Amino acid sequence: MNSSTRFRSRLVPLARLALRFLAGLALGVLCHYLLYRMSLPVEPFIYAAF
Amino acid sequence: MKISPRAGSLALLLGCALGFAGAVVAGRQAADYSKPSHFVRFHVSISPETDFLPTFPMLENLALARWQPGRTVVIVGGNSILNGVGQSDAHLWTRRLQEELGAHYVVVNLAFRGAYSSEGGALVAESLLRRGVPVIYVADNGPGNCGRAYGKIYGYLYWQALAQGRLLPFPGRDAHVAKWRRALRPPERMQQEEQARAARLDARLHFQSLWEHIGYRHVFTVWTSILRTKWWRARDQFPDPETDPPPVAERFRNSFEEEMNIVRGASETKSEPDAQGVWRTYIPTLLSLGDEIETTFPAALRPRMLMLLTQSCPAYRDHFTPTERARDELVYTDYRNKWREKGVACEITGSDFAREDFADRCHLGPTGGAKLARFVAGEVRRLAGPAP
Repeated sequence: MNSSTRFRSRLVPLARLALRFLAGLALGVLCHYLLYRMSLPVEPFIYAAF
Repeated sequence: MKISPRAGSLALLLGCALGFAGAVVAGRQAADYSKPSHFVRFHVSISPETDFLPTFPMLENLALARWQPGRTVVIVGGNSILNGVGQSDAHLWTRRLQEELGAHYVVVNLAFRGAYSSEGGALVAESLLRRGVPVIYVADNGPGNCGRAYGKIYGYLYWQALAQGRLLPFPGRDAHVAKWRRALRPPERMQQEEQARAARLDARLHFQSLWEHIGYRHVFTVWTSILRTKWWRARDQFPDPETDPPPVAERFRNSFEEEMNIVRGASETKSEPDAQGVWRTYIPTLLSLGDEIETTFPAALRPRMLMLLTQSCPAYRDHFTPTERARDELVYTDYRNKWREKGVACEITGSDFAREDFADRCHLGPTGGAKLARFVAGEVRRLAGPAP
């Protein structure tokens, strides 16, 4: 195994790990955003002056 | 090098936890500083009508950011009349009020279209009072109920203020909330409980603060029909669309009879004729206002409040019969006296305004706004006592 192959064989799993971590970050932020969306009122507010 | 599936899952979980925690921290920071920039009032594009729900901390930040020791904060609450519908940004009555009052006062217009005098601004005034900030609360009402801070569209602000511990201890209100919740129909009760739960969760996780802040500053993520193709744009890019009214000759033309019925109804629905046919204020409704005031506004806030009972435009009131006029005056006077009896300064406004002071049946135009500002400034100075 030459040095370039060795480097690639280390980099690819690390990159996969980093990608999973980043996907996790995005998922965490998405969960926070979903809490916000769930807290919004379902009925629209229509203004009328009486 | 081989990475086990377990390490991959851990990386995902760790990322998820850190992402969520990061959002919570960002939300916590947004709750501390987020507020609309160059704020003058909550116009339609930064209000619940377009699905933008300003949070309670946002409202409070608007007042606290302008306050300095030695100044009194004047919180304006209530509905579209005090929000300034009928006046462009440049001619807004609260700008005139600030000019009248001078540098010892900070005027913050937290009135919302369609809001009760007990919602939004009232809660901010209460919170400022709890912090020891000198505050005067100005709001408007017709003759009739002052409404509750909870249960309607702006009710989410009450739940947020409550969950964040911003309100004064008030057993009378707590008892009413408990009684009111028990009396709700199951779907409505569930809706209110959801709103209360969301506010309790938000007090810890700050999701409303973060995403409303992002919606205001960066990108709005909720589709709303009113803004059509621009729904995604950050709300700070939307100018205040309110304009001054058309020339007087073009006002008060539409739906005259319907508007007259509303103007007559202000006193007709709050009174009844006696055996001789003379109109008397309907006492049960008047008493219910008294109970409402006692369980809505904390005793410490009431001496710092100015309630305005707003009259309609003379373009309609001039068409009253003598009996209708007498009934209208009687009902307005009785309701004003009820507020005063409960320790709230109350004045009837608009009775001596000309038709050109109004933009429509109930909203004031620029000249009416200026007159109102002059009047309110005098009352605010009287309530605040000698200048520091």
